[in-house]
Amino acid sequence: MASINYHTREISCKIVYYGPGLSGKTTNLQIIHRKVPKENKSEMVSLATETDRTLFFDFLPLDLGSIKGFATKFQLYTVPGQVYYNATRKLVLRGVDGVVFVADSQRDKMPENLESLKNLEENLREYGIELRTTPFVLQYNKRDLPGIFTVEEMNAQINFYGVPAYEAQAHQGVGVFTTLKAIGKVVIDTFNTKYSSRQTSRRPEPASSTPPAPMPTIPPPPAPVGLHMPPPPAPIAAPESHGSRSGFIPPMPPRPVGPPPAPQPLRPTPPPAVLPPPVAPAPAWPAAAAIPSGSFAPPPPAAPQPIQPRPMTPPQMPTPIPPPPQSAGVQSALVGGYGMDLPPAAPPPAQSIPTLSTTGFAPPPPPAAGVNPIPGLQSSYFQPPQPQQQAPAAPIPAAPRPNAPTFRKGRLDGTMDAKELEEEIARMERELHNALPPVNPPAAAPSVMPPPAAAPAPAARPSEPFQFNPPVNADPAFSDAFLSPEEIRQFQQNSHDYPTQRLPMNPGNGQA
Amino acid sequence: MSNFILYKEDIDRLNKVMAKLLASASATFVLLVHKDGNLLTHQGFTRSFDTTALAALAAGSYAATRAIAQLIGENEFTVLFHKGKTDSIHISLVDEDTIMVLVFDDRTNQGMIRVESERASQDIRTILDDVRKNEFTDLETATGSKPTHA
Repeated sequence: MASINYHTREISCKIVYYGPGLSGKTTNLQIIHRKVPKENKSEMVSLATETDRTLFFDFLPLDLGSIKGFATKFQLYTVPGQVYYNATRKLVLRGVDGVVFVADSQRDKMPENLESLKNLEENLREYGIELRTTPFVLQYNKRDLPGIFTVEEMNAQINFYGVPAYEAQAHQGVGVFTTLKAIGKVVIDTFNTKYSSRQTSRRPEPASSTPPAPMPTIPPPPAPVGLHMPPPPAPIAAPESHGSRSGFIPPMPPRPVGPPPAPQPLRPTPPPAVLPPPVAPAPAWPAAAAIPSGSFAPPPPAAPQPIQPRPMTPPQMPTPIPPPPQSAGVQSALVGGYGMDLPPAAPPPAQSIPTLSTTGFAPPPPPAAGVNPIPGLQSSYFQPPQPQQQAPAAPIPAAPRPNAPTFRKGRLDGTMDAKELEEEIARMERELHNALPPVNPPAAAPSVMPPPAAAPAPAARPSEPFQFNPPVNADPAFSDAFLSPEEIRQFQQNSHDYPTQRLPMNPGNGQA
Repeated sequence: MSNFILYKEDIDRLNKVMAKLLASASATFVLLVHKDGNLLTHQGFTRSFDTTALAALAAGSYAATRAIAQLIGENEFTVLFHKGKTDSIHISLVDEDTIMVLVFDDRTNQGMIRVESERASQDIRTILDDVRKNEFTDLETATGSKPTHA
């Protein structure tokens, strides 16, 4: 269940990596955590056993660009894969917005894949969610091992709904970000579809049943390497409102109850006339493994494309969205905290109050007319990385009551006015927690911003579908390529160094 | 499945109640967390804490405890309490979708926390009932405040 906060301008989505045990779900998150720039992530939390098996979940919050000035905060979760952890697996699925199923490509693991997929569908159904209507992508992991199914065989056996599927070698970083971009795009497209229709229905203008026209200027980007799409089950026109503009995958159209409209394939596929009729009902699970592969019409026997380091897709930066007119404080918070899509702004006034989470303690300072006085509620990892913020050039003014020893956590002192109180809170907090390290300005952020000179003035921008502009398209750190041998060696040696809560218990998984 | 849509007015109302709770209960900070793990808002001294992870873990802890409750025939436990050496955590159910996480230290006591959090929960419940009636507005034109259209 996505959460939209208009005040802090954030949209939160929950992505769950699902799959059988040892298929690489946690490795996916570890690679993402390793490669994503600091300003886009927070610490990864892993509830694992002493043997590094996920016990409850792994959790990684991630910022993936913005939609119309709203930061998209993705919360990535994994589930424990072992069969007997179903109770906790079900808990993690609550409120899920998108699912990545990490399948093990080895031939002898296919029964586990099918069992886990069936379990996923059952667990979702307990929350009243149908897998076929949920944003969902597949990842075929461990493509580097011997004795694996081909992609066509994998598609035929577990890709019932014709969703995008990606090859991966997660421990080498291959396919991880492709999958992440894919699920992010699908989730945002679903969000887009849901709310575009609501907006359309509320407008007084004659509402058209057709989706809004796509942006005509940006051509679809090239297909990512390693993408294997099952052919469409029926010749369905590509949904216009979901043109792939932001750079990674074929769009996921809204999936109605009828035949699942397959995404527009990026590879040349056989003409749809030869395809069988669409598979409308959900597969009968006991016979799932026995479904003839022909009914899924696997792609033509294209030779499995070798996974190679993929040249980075040039960033498809859309027209920068002008920030809404706001106060300088709000503007600086947006640029610093969410500003992947905003041009660099002038530094905030030296005397501006930093972003505070304690505004409720005191009446806010008198706002100017039409100005939001509260810069925004910020998580600690989401501090606006303003270069001037940690600069000592803007010291907190001398506290009017420097020797106020009684004012500590939770104590209110009624003799202070609002500004003094805020400053005192900030000062005390720094002292209490050993002067938090200064927030470094983002190093990569300017590189992903479009040159301001090249940006035409968006004077009359028509109403358009939401643009999903994740920095993963532009930042080399998000590129989906092989890790260098040195990186692989470091990752394999130091993977146990991730911030993991080692629980002193043995879940009885047979490993001593 | 409906999304949770919060406007500035909602956040301000929630923050006001939570700030009052902090002052009356002498707690350190308070988080309002959706059961999915999403942090809705927070008040208090949270700057040095990873509130996002804290919210996710608290929601996970609550969910696990709820599963335990169902194993023994209860629907769910309405209060969780984790006591530490100096700092403790009090997790309470606000409504069917939301939990409140109160962190406090040894300058207050659990009884005070329970009484005050229950009192605040009633106010928060009222606000959240209003929040569920919120409608989506265009992100492009959104100012953060609740639209005033009819």
